[in-house]
Amino acid sequence: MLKPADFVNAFEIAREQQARAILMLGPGAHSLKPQALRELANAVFSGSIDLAVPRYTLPPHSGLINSAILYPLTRALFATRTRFPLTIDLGLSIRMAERLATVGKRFAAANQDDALLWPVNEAAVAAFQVDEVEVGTRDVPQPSDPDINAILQLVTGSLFAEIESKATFWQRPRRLPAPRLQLDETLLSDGTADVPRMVEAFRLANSNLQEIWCLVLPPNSLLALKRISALDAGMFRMPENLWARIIFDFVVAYRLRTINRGHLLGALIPLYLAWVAGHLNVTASGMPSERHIEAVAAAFEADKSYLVARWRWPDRFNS
Amino acid sequence: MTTENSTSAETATIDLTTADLLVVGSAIPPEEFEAVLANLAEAFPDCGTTAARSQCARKSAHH
Repeated sequence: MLKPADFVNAFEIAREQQARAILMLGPGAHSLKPQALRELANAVFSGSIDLAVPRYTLPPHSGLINSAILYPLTRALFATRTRFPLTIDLGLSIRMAERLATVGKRFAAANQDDALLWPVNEAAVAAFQVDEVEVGTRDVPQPSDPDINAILQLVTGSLFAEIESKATFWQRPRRLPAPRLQLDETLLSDGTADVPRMVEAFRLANSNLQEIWCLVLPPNSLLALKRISALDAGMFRMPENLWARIIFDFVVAYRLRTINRGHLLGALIPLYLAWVAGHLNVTASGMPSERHIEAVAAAFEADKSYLVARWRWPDRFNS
Repeated sequence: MTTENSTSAETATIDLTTADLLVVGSAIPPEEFEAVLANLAEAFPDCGTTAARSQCARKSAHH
């Protein structure tokens, strides 16, 4: 992934070389086709786009942390349709590069080299033009630690920290731009083999993690979780509005440090597995994956006022 | 430290001066960066493959 220091270095060299635009590429970029590189670069050369973000075609049932949390949360709060806000490759105008370098220096000074999910949000805050470029398939770099717990904590923690630092921006109402790229309506192959294991992990957590979840989630969410825990694995679903509220409540608990942040994000994992199980069942039943993810994102947008209210008056949530 | 025509697993850069485009590869192993250069040469045919390695790839930097 691109690190804050990469943006600092890139801008310095771009200034030295008097470049007009920058293409930043991460590990696995050799798998991007020449046309993808050209279109990414041309987007920022056009002069009207400051940040060109690739939209990748990923293998079925991959990138689900992004689909479940990063994309819908970023879209609802920062009013951007960027499907992959965890950036691996980017096209930058010079003014975008300068802004990212300034912020990158701040991260470096604060020893926050693990900040991952900020360039797209930074463009939104600066009111710079962001556009997506379809680049097709790409080899996605595999994390050094493939443990789902570690990955979820790293990327979700990074986004939650971003949300905390940009609270004055996202609390205001923002209009989401109209979709420009077509929704991929491809039906995916059945991926439900792991669903019973995921549902079982969720049920176990629903018994064992009540004490922690009670500190984070309001009673009506706990009741809804209890209800879905009784569903058979094959019928299991996580309602979109329940999922949006769960994530919003975890964002607030992260901000308030209701419990240790590591423990908090650890308590999110069985809930995420429950979302994945539901998503796999939904897609197996014939709904295109992207259509379901759009429905999830729409639920986050529709309920954004809940997060704003909880952010401003966190003590009221039990009433 | 700045070197000529070399890449790094940390950060490597190449500037396509004819296009005024700076291309920065982060944490890309050298052999993969070679493939990126080849694709860039195809993406920007004015530079050509040879040019991408000699003229366009005038400068790369290790950080």
